[in-house]
Amino acid sequence: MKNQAKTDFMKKTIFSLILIFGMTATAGLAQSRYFSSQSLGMGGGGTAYVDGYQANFINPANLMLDIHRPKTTIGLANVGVNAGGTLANIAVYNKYLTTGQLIAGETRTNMLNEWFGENSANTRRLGATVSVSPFGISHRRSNQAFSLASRVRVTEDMTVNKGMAELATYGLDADRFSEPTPINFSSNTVAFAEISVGYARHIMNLPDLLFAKDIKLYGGIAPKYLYGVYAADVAFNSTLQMTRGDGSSPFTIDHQFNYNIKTIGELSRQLQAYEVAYNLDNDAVLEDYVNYGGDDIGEAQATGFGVDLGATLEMDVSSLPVPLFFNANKTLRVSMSITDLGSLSYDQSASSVFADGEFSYQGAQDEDSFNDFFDNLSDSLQNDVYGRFTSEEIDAVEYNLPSMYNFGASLEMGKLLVALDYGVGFNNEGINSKRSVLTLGSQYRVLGFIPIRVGTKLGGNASAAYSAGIGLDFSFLELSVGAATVANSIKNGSSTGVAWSGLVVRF
Amino acid sequence: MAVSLKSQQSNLQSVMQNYKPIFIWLIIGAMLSACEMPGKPDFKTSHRVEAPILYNKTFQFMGEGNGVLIDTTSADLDSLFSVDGDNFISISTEQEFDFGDLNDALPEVSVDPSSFNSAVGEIELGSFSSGGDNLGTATFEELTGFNSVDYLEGTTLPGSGGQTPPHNIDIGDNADYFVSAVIKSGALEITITNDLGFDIDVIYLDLKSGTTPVNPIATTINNVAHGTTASGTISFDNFDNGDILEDINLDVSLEWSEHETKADPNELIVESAEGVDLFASEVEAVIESQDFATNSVTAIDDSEFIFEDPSHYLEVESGDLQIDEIINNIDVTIEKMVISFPRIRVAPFGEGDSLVVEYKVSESTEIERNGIAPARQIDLSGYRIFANNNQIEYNILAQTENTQTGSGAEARVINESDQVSSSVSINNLIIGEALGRLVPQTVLLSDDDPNNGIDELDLFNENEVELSEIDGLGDLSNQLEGIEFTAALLSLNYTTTIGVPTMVYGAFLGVNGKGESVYLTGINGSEHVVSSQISGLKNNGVEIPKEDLLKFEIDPSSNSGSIVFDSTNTNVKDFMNNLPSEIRFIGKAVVNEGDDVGTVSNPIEIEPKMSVSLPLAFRTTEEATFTDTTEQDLGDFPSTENGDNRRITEGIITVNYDNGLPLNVALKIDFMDSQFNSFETLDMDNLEAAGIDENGFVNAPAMNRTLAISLNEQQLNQLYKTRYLQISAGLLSTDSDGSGFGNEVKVRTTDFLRLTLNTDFTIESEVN
Repeated sequence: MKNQAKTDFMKKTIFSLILIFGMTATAGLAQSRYFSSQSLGMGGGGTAYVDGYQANFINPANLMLDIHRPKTTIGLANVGVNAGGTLANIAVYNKYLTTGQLIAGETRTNMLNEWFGENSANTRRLGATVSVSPFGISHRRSNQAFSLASRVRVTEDMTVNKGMAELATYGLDADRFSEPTPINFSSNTVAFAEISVGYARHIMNLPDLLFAKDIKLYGGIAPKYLYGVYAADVAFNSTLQMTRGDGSSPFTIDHQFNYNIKTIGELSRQLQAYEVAYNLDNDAVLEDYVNYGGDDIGEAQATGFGVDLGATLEMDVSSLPVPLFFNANKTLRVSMSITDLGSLSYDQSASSVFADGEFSYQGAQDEDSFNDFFDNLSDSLQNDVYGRFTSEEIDAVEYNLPSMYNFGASLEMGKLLVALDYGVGFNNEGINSKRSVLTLGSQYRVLGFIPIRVGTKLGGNASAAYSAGIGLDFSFLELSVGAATVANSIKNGSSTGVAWSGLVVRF
Repeated sequence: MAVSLKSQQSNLQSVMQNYKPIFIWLIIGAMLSACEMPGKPDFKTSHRVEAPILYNKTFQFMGEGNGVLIDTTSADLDSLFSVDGDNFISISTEQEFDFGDLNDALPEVSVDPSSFNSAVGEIELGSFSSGGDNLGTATFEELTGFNSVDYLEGTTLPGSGGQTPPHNIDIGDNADYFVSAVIKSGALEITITNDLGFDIDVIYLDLKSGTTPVNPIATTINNVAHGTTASGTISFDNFDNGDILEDINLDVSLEWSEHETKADPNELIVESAEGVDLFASEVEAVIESQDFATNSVTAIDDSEFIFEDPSHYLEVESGDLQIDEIINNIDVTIEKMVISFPRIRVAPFGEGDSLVVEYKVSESTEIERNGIAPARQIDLSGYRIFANNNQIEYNILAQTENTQTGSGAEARVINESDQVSSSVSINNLIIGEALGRLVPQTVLLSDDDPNNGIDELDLFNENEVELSEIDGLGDLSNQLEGIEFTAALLSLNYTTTIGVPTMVYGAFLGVNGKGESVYLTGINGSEHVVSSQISGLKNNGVEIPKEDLLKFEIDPSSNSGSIVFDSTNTNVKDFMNNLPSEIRFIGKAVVNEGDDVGTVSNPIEIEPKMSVSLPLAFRTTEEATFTDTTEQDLGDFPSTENGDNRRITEGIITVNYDNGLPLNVALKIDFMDSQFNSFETLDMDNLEAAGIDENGFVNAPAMNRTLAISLNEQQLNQLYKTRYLQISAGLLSTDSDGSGFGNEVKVRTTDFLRLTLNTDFTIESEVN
């Protein structure tokens, strides 16, 4: 009786936790975990339930999962887009920029403080990843499974600081910029493709444990070949100070800056050519030399290897008294995986462009003519101030894959699937974040083939997000979509994501 | 209790089972409704743009390149200003007038054609034979009547006892050079050799033409020893003019004394017959070369040019001397003929440099007997004609062939009146230079358009007027009012080739950018006043009165000169303060008005350069206004009236300056629409003038002054209508004595204006 009571309590507790997480838990979405239409719709997890060839990218051990589906899966044109970050603060945006207010004075101060915080050096971030998996195939056997999958990722990650936002909203205001104010931004862009070969096997059966029966442990690994297409890193740091002066000192705009651009290929060569030309002739114009047309996109700018690996513990927990699903078969899966281990070296014509200078402007002095100076001011800044840089060839632009540790658990109860995931990035590459992320999602199969998915996420590089998904999921065919956005971006910004399963065929 | 619990659990399960889909949809709905969605942007921004435009930018008043108020290297101004050693500036420009040549003043002279006839004249006879053999002989027996065998050498010959009877010797047959002649004067020398073997005391010679003795008394030759030769001269003094000498023969008689013979007897020989100053009016003979000469004169027209002195001349630029065909009606060839013109000379124009025309054998230009020599044309370019009293003399000298030699050796019939004839003319004469007395000429100083009358010039006939445009002054006259330049000067610098005094009568009309015009005229008492009407100078068809004309003299003593029109002799101050953008000139020149001797050259040119000097020494008796309207399309300027979602709510330009110019500047800007209607005026504070010294030069710049130009939102909101900006600067020269009027000030290149400009604009943008 006591045990029964404990069991009931445990059931209630678990159910309550599921509900609590389902109703209130928030989690950042913009973590660099692979997302399918199913996992995005369920909050962005998937460590313990994404199967088929897509398991290569989140937990290769899941190749062994048998979720009432045929053994062979072929997928075409899976697409997912994910963007977000602390810069995409929809809450502040809606509060100040959709109500017709004049952004000046105290209103402007409050807006910027809410967006960026008090300190002008504070930065906010916006990242986006487009992930396309053109083709994938997996085959599961009794004790092992195999897969082959391809994937293309384009990731952009940028940051700006509050000083830059102040410059944009105040203008050249000598009152605001009376003290040196940092004005910084950075951008990181990377594009690469990968071909992943997955292997998983049934490692062992474990003895029954408490309410769990038929416990199985799967292990999987998916090494992958990486093919870099494009990479560019830009970091610009500066200060701006304006001094009005008086009768004895001039009105002065001081701008100290340094920047560094690491890039490869055609753009790298163009920048180096401009530097050579500028050193020969100060009248060289940047745009005459730098006009990147992307002609080299598609060429192999880098190659490398990576690996995803994971393990899944699967058990029958049908004995758990879950409300609404008392009589349903229940399967609990607990998984761990480490994804995107590896790096890329973009070494084709890699260069680092950097400058460290000071632009002090007190008005036109000895320019060719009064009018010409203002006509050419922007050109002068471009060519003679920022354009006066040094470039040097470097071995490579290094890019570490957005590695993550993922932990997940899923409970399948008849037509209902609930899942919990925890993840943390090993780095901040792209939309990856060292900030932990917790996701909770559920899926219910209406009529057995219409999956209704909801989920939420908390943590990562954005505010809490909600997600949902729907589609058709027959055992032999799947077409589904998923989408996500945040509930309140006031603290950590917004994010949004969409995913389409593509065409998934099983047989 | 357990049943109850189980029952409750079963009920709950039943309820939840029944409402499971509802729960699920509620969960989904709650989650989706909590999603945050961005709203439509709707906000306004207020940006401030504060920026320094200029910092301590010093603009020198004038100089080259940037950093100057007046860039003297700009296209319109590059030759407008000049600067003296003290950096004092003058607007100065030099414009050329093109009078063209004044060759109408060159004399046009014509030369009368002149014919000449040169007769061969009386003919001189020389040797009567070619000398190959004697003319005749007489034997011992024919002359003495003795038998020669009896008087061999050493035999005593008895005396003749007086003159022996004459013996005739026919010399005509052996005189191969002579046929006949009508003797006019002279004598014939007969040479005889005594080979008779004895000495002769007297030889008597009696020459006869046929049977007619030439003289009534025989010619004697005394004491002719054996073996010697002697001559006797037979005069034709008794030979009547017109008598013909022909078929000549000699009657010879002797006289000797008794003496021993010197040799065996032989003959008396007539060796030769030679004319001694023997002239005939007509001959049939084989004659030697004959010389004959003549001279002639041709006249030069004196209606425009007079040679008063042997040194006066016309130098021919082009023209030719024509010698027509020379007709030779003499039966001998003129082997050489020289026609000389001693007063037509080539450089260096000495006597030995005269023009000589020759016909001669060596050049195959001899004149054949009874023949014609072709006409000759001689280019006279570069020759000078020293035609004293307007006469050109020339000489003809001819030499005939010697008919005693050569292939034409034969007897010819020549009469002393036989002649060669031709004519001489000088044609197409263009004078390059003339020294002499030039008859006064009036010439136009520009092209004459016949459409408005011959010899009439109009200031506004563009084909006739000399138009001088002064770049830069046009803009100034359009833009500047009220400034009085105090030291204006206009001068005419010229170079000329004319060598005689020339007076120019003309009209100078200065027209400014507004079409206002002022004549340049002499002031009373000056040498530039025109006292009598000059006809043919018009302004739009109306005769210009003499009071509006100006005269000046071109000095012939030098190849260049300068005529200065200043305020002491002309109204140049009024003329230049009108700030003419163009100066129109028409005029006539009276060349050698005093009928003096002088030199004129082709081309006769006067090349004047009009030099304008307008020193920047000026004063403003009242505020002068400089106005400039510029196209300035501010259609892109933000305005809520224009439907823009941006507007400038405030604009301030702060000016900090040092004014080193002797000008107080009150600036006003009118913003005008496309119809030039002013809809907004911006009055600004004055730029304070610099202080000046007693000479008018700046000595105390206004330092570290500040003024602000402020535009409020209402003004800024109107600016989008702007299509033109009219900038008016009220200029007042430094009022150093506080009189309320500007003093005379002088501007130097080094005068300056230093500016520091800061802007402060607030821009409000609406996004929705």
